Amino acid sequence: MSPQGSDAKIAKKLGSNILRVYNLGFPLRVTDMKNPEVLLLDDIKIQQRVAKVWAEVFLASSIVIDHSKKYGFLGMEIIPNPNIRQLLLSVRLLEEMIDTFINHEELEYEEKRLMLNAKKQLTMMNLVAAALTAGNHEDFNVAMNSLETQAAF
Amino acid sequence: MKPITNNSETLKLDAKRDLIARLDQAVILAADITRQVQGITEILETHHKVALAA
Repeated sequence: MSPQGSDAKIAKKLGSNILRVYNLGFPLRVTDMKNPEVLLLDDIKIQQRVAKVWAEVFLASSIVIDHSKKYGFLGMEIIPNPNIRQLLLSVRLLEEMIDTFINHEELEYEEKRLMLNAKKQLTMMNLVAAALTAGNHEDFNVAMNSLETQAAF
Repeated sequence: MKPITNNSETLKLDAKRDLIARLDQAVILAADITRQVQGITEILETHHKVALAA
């Protein structure tokens, strides 16, 4: 596939030969300019998985924001504690995994940016859940505002 | 595909494969978080319906 054409408008050149093509901020493919038919498959696999992790976290954040808008703090207080505790465990585990990705030398800047954004959303979800468990309305509002801002980033 | 002849290239390839495997686990965990949040949606919706009906 030729790296030229309309895609080139949204492409970023990395180094002297490597071209990375984006669509709406999502990486689509990486092409070696010297050999355009050869896709760097492992790099694409990494990009796809990073995009998938980010998309799942964004979806979960969006649902939590939707809960807040529909039911508010008082409506959400009825969520059983075991559900919140299980969610918090999973969120913390994913945060720890993302920490290792952010420091990984094989991850490009764009993937690191997505991982950092996902981690910030998870941190805010963590704070929302903690505020709900503690019954702290003020902290809940602060965390929800931060989550909305971060998810829109 | 070009054969891997350089040791540093092999190490780089191994590092990428290891990263892909760990990203696969992260994808599964992230999807599980989404499922848990969707489960909370059902709890909230059910509670809201019951509250409205009462």
